[in-house]
Amino acid sequence: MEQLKKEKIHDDEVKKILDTMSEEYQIDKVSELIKDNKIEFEFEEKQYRVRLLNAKEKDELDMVRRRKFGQLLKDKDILLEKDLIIAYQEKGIDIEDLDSKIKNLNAQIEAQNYKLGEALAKSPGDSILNTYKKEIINLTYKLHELTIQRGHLLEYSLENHLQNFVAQAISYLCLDIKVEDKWVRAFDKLDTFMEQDDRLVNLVAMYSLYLHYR
Amino acid sequence: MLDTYLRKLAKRTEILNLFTAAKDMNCFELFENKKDLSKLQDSFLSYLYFYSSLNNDISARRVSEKVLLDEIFENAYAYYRNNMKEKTEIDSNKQRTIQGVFSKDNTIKFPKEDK
Repeated sequence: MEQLKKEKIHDDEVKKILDTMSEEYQIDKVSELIKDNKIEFEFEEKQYRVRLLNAKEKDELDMVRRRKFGQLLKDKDILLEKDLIIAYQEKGIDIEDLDSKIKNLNAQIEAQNYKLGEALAKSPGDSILNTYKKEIINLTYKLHELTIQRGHLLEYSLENHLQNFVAQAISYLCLDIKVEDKWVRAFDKLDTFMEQDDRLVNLVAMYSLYLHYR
Repeated sequence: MLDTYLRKLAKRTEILNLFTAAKDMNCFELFENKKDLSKLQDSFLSYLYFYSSLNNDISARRVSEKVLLDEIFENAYAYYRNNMKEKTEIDSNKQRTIQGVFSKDNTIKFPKEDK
């Protein structure tokens, strides 16, 4: 029994050390990501760089965004968010009700945050702090569920199509490749970029998100 | 997850000291780039301000160190503190309005109630 206890303590200590090491590694990675406003990486023995857009590229983005918006407006199969909400209403799915529940949950989270913050300032016992904390976790979980549900329902709205397109266009515009020690745009067209290996496209999308959207 | 590690980095004493020094000397040497911050760098800076302010409150004994044990505690306290600050500002603005009304011609004119 004593031996088992000792082994358990040993396992816990090992886990703690491994967790700390992993945390240190992750913090180092984050530190690399913020050291400047570019992210360099290697993919299949080629050097790539994701960076912020310059003024000319922002104009280019604006032009393709407007062109895409015009195309989407002409497409009869794609509805604007407000029309999609009406279409759902006719099928008995009430998005406005969902919005009101989300608003209400946000208000409840704010109220609990205020109470917890006030309690922290007045230093009561740990049990009351943990009660508020659990309540905030519970409400936040419910809020995430509803937000995801709303996101799924409006996934095919024109606005969402446009937003996804803009994210792809930014990823394409901000990606450089190193050729003979010089950085040049990695792909000449958005379509060519989108046809690349999914792993590369997803990696660029993630890094682009860190630089442009966070 | 990225956000959690960004916070943990911003919370480190050596990083906060560097930030305070950079702020005091009015020269930002935290990043290799001096302008055009990425959104990630922007978030990191916000967290530096956030933890710097939290540590000031701990030093001033407005809150105990317990607040740093949990991200939920940190957020809740910051939310409460900001609300209190806003409330204090509104109260002091009202006070100033009342003082202004008093000083004009030595008669008391009550300010109109906010609608």
